[in-house]
Amino acid sequence: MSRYKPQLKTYAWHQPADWWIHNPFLLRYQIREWSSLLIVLYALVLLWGLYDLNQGEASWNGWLAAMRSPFFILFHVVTFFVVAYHSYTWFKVMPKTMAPLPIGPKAITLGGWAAVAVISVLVLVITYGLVR
Amino acid sequence: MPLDTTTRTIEIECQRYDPDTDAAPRMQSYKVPFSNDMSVLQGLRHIKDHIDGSLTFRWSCRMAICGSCGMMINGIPQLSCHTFLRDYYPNKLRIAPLEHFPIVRDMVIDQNDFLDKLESIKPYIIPKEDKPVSDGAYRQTPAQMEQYVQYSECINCLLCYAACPQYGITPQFTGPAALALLHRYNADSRDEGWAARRDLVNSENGVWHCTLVGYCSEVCPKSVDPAHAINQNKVNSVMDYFGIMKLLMPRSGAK
Repeated sequence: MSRYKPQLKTYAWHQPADWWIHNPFLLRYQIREWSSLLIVLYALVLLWGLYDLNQGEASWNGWLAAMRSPFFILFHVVTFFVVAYHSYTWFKVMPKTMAPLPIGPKAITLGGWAAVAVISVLVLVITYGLVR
Repeated sequence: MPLDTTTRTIEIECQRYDPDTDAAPRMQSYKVPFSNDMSVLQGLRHIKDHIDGSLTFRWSCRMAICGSCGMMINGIPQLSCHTFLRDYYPNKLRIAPLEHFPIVRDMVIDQNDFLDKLESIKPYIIPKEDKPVSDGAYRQTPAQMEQYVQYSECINCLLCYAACPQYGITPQFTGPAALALLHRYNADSRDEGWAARRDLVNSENGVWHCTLVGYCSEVCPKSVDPAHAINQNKVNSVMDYFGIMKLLMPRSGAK
């Protein structure tokens, strides 16, 4: 049974469009959510490169040349920092997404970063081995 | 350090709404003398006692136990008894009712939506079968108690609902406090009520409306951490979907 009283005159709440602007915590949350859009764009750029690679040497060199333009260098620098922030925010909330572990929330967050470090080194080593 | 008894004057701007005369809320400013030990709630009580008796707000215990006096203080959901005027001086203070709820009058919000949701999570221990009193008490180890005791600290002050933008956008969302209390019972070793609560947990208006903003846990005056409770139940909900819950909780009748 609902306790709601239809006869009670109230002033209804309407969520304003700028609900996230005035509170730094909510602003950081929105940046976390929006940063995923830049990650989508980065994935599309990679797919574009893969497509050009499949089209043959000339188009692949065209993609490489495009990547050397100031616009795409800036894009990659910005994306790097945004992805780093995105990862930072998610590793920070990672302890909240699992049952409490005896090692404590800080160790879970650090574990995420440790995994990033190990995988990054592995990828670098393998890539270096392949292109050498 | 000697007790500071000097009196200063702070400006408190209150959001007013009278359902009989106002079409929309308006702001009204008061000059309030205060000493160093005065909470925001005491400032409001000074207004009500000495300046404007029509100012309406809920309060009771004055010591962050009852959960009655939650309001937006400079846009942040806080217990007004737990917040001090000295921390805002010399700037002015803006007081408004908790966001995301219908306003009844001034700082008083309509909590009925939350009370319905609290009822919907079945906030009581559901044992597999009732034990006769002669069998004695249900026994629990400190480690079993540790699983839920934090979530049992909730005082229903609704700061987390005012902090949750998902609740503001979608009022059907069961919301932080009710879901934290749902977890309080599910995580209790004496409770076997997953089967009774699973449909709510799994539903769109259950845990899946949460996008882990995490602000609920930030504003909670009792460190309940509703975000942690809700997101653990996303794991439970996924396990339930794949039929793993019935392996983990064979006695609870989980399907």
